[in-house]
Amino acid sequence: MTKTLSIATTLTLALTAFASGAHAQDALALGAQAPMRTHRMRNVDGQQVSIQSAAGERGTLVIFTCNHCPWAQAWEARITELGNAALGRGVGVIAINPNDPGEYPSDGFEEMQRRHRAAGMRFPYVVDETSNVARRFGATRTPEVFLFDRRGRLVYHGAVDDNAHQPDQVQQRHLADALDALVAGRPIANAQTRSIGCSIKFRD
Amino acid sequence: MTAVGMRPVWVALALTACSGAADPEPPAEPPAPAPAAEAAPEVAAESPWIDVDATSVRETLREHPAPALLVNVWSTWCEPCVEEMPDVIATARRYEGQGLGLALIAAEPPTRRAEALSFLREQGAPEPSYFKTGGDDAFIEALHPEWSGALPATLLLDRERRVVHFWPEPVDEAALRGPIEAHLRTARPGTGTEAEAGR
Repeated sequence: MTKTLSIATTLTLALTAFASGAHAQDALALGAQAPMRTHRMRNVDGQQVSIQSAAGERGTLVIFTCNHCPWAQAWEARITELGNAALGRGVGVIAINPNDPGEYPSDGFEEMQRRHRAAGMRFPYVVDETSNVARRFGATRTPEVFLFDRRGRLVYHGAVDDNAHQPDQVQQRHLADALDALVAGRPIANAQTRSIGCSIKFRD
Repeated sequence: MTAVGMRPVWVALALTACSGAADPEPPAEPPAPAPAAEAAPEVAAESPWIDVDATSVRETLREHPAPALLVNVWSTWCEPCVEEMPDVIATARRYEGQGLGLALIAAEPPTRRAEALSFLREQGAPEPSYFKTGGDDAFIEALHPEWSGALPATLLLDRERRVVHFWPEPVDEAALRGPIEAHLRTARPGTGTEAEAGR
């Protein structure tokens, strides 16, 4: 009995170790190309847009975000401002909503259209209808950004900045700094950052 | 016990009164005992929060007396966090006698302490509870390098506060039970096995 139990424990521990390691490994590595670049997604204006078609000559900013998440909402104005400014600097921008509106009705298409309009986003805000784009990126939360250089290599992954709820107390403007460096052709000092956010509600 | 527990409260009240910081309102009303009694819980109660940031979170969790610790990072703004809270609390309570403690860390906007506290009290959560302050990135790294920052996040920590198991997704009692039981068995070698063998 003791032996059986100890085998069971070992097995459980082994499975546990496997399970705990299995989640965080999948995030896109720096230097990697964007997955599913040609995959077409429905934009708020009804047009089909891909990451490739949204790409800019100096780079591409991919933002996983959504409607319902308070952190996405808290960062929305800054995301809009940075995204709109990036367009003017030759960096393509695409915001992607990977959430299952079955889980959160407010993550549906019409609310995307409303928020896009209200925020004044000049870049596409598209639906990841299978959540597979987010899966392939290894995105886990909203908002979460991925910045690619002009050759399509990932140069920054992570947070918008270090303070969602108090914009006036931001100390690290992670994404703004990354965009500045990208446009200036400088290496990005802090290429991977993290922030608190809402778990992505992946479709089954 | 109650009387001893109360003493710091009155000392704090007296100090606050001396410093004049207790009540910014003009002394229009006579200094009756009623307003003082009303002010007491706000001014003098032991804080229900222990603030933690990137530099203090690990050490603060080490100060928790429980040999094993279930850590749950949550927010009232995170629906799955709110949904799983009853299970998290019930599970922690179930294994309390076997040395499991519970540390709930609110990753809440700083303006929402009152809402967070009222939710915790509705849930019957242990106090004091923990409140994250400061920037996110270093805090996430300090708590667990494999955590992306997505809420909710739950960790099982051993006596040395090493991560034994990490749930980077919403949990329920069934999901929590296996890793907790496995750890509690190995953390006290012999105990569980002997009890089983004796049956």
